[in-house]
Amino acid sequence: MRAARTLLLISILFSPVLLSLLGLIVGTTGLIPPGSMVRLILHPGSSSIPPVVRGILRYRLLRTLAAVVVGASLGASGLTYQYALRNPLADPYLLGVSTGSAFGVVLWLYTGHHGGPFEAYMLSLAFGILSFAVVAGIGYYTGGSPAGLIVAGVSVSYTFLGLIVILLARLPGTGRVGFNWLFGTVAYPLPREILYTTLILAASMLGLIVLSPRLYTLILSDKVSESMGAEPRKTRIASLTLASMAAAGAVALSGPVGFIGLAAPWISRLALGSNYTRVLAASTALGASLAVGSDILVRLIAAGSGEIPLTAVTALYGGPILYYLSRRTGW
Amino acid sequence: MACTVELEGVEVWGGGRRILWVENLVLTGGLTLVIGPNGSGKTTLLETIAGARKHSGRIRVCGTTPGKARRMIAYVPAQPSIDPLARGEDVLRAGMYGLKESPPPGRLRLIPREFLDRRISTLSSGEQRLTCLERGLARRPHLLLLDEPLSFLDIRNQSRVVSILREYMAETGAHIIFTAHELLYLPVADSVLLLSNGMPAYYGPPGGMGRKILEEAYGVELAEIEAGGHKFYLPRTLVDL
Repeated sequence: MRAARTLLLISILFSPVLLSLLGLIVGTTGLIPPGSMVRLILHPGSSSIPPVVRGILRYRLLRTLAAVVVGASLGASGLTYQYALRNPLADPYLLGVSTGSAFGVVLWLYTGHHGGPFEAYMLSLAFGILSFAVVAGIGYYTGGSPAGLIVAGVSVSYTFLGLIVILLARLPGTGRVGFNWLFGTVAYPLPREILYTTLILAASMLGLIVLSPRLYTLILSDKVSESMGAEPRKTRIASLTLASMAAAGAVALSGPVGFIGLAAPWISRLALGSNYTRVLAASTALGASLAVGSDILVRLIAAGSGEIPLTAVTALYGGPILYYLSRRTGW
Repeated sequence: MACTVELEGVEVWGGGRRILWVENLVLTGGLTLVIGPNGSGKTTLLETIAGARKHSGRIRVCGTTPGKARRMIAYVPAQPSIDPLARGEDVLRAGMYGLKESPPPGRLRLIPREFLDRRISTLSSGEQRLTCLERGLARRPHLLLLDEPLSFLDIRNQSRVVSILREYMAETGAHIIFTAHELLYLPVADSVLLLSNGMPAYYGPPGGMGRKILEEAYGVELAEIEAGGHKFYLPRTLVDL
């Protein structure tokens, strides 16, 4: 049992690497046969490769990296939300991050794409974090309980949603980018955005690892955690802040991709137990794999017919998987 | 050396009223049973000693402040409220926070090894209770605070838990404070603390507490039954049925 679980953990940790390689080979253009892509990856120095192919490979690399970091952020963030809120159905968008971020982007669209896509990224990041800060503030001053935080999250999300709808209704046409963004896509990544989101994820993970012994005690009741000196109220807010930063980084890069932040932690915990640091590694890797895998599917479906959002794919397979998992959990 | 608990002018407030008020009390050690009607402050007392409750006044635990005594204390609440996806092993591991040792311990006293691998939501309420008690013992505490450790347990497990707690005490000299609703457990304890309206109404050996004190605290007439040289109490209405 224990050996099987270790093997499973190792395969989960390696899966993003394999899927990423696949992500470089599979694309929307039928121009390059997979075989020659593999040759190109193995011999990148070869001068006989046409610049167009190099360009395509560079784009696929960026897109795959974006999917990896988005999925990893959602996996890490979702897991931490589930521990901190003591709720296996919590996902990284529960406390206002995604609606705040979306509001930032819609604001950017509304003001006439002011300053280009990187400004959209920064606005989205800023509003995602701001939105969580409001939720955390309300939640903390009303006692800091999981239920209080979730209520605050839902209220703040609805407020932003109202503003988003008002702005969208007044926009002449949101365009394809806007539509794709609202349902999540890694089709338009900037190298700088990938770098920033990766740095945010790294900082967040570092903080979470430092907090992990305290965070682990939250699976027991708050009173028990407090009796051991693990300061559950502070630990909850601190870990949610770190997790929300990672989620905001992901949403700013790709828009709100659904399902991954809920399923990666859940599958990891069902398979591997609840040792926080162990499951954090698994959930982060699995999140990356789900995102890259879904994006490969998106490319296959979209081949020749234009981009479709990532959530379209994750939602299609996510529904049945969640149902199956909930049956296995015994709910 | 037993871990004593000293309370001096301790007050705990909640919901705009005073829910615990202990002017002067020293719980000396052994197996201390805390009884009293619903809402008399039993849980609040345990949480306060565990350092999980704001209070005024002075508390000394094992000769130091509750904050400094954390490593020597284990607290097991009445409601397990554990994350449903956590496994038995996680419960024991997370329960070792603040200590250097790491479980699972070589020796499980209460639960079969198989529980370590099971999700807590797949265990019955009695099995969950045993897992929580195992967590408390895994810390090897000098002071073990157990809120209703015997509820949800069948009679065989009730007597098992009592003898395992006695065994642990004999091995380590630990002080165990536990609450119960069943007056049945009075003879098991070395001393009894009776709480009434948030205040101690009696503290001393179980034999020294007469029927009258209990009747007054619970507001119910009691019937006395003698067995094995001990007195047991039951509500008279149950006996007269």
